[in-house]
Amino acid sequence: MITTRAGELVLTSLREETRAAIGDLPVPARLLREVFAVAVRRCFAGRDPREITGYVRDLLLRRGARPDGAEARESEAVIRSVLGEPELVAGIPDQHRTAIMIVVITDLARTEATGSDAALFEALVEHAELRVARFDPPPNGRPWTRKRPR
Amino acid sequence: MTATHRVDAARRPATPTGRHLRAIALNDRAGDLPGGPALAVFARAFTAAVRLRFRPDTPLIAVAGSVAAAARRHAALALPVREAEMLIREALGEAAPTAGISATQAMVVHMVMFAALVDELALTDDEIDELIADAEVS
Repeated sequence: MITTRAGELVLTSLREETRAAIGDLPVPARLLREVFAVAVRRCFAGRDPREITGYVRDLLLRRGARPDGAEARESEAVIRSVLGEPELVAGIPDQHRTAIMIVVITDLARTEATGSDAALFEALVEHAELRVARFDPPPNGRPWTRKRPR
Repeated sequence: MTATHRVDAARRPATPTGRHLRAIALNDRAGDLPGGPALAVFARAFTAAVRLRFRPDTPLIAVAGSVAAAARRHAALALPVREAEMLIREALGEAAPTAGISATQAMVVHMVMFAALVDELALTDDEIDELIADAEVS
């Protein structure tokens, strides 16, 4: 069960495959990065990073985009940034990073999932909410969870 | 390359481009950058240095480490790190995504990474000369 407003916005962005719901809001953007890290690490951790090059090429070809240009380099960099190479994303605007993350998460969900996309999206967001609450609490010390209605 | 590697001392960079690259690699005064097709010497010297430094199956983390170190060392030159890694991987024979890299970006990568890689390999001046001279004639 999604427990935060940010989680709902991230889920909407994944379902609609656009960053519109998240916009420039910092908390959903942080949660999306965690969803992305979970999805990428569960698919690529421990594998040769050169497999990411092949994955990105296939992804861009499936989407009708050029598979060997700047979009390929930036997509690979964003993926590898959550596998221990954060410096690779220097110079890629935040909004473009977010767009790449949404495309990759939704694609991995479709290609790796055995159940429905929707169920996997929810599971990813729940997992990410837990990780954010556990490892990266907000600076004001309050929990990420919404207040329960009285 | 070993400590006993023999170099023909007569083989020195003979073109302005080669001498420019030599000056950069040895941290000497380089003067104005030559232009035009002579810049292909940079690309060939870069490829030779890459193939000396890395094997085709080198872990990418090692390639990325060399690029990151070069970017830090030559921060003022704004080395494009993603493009640098992909050009190195292409030089190693991989089908890396290198389309759309501008001539200026490629030239910066070739110069900076050549200097960085020959430094990592601790090549002697004569060995650097030989690499550049080979790039001038091939």
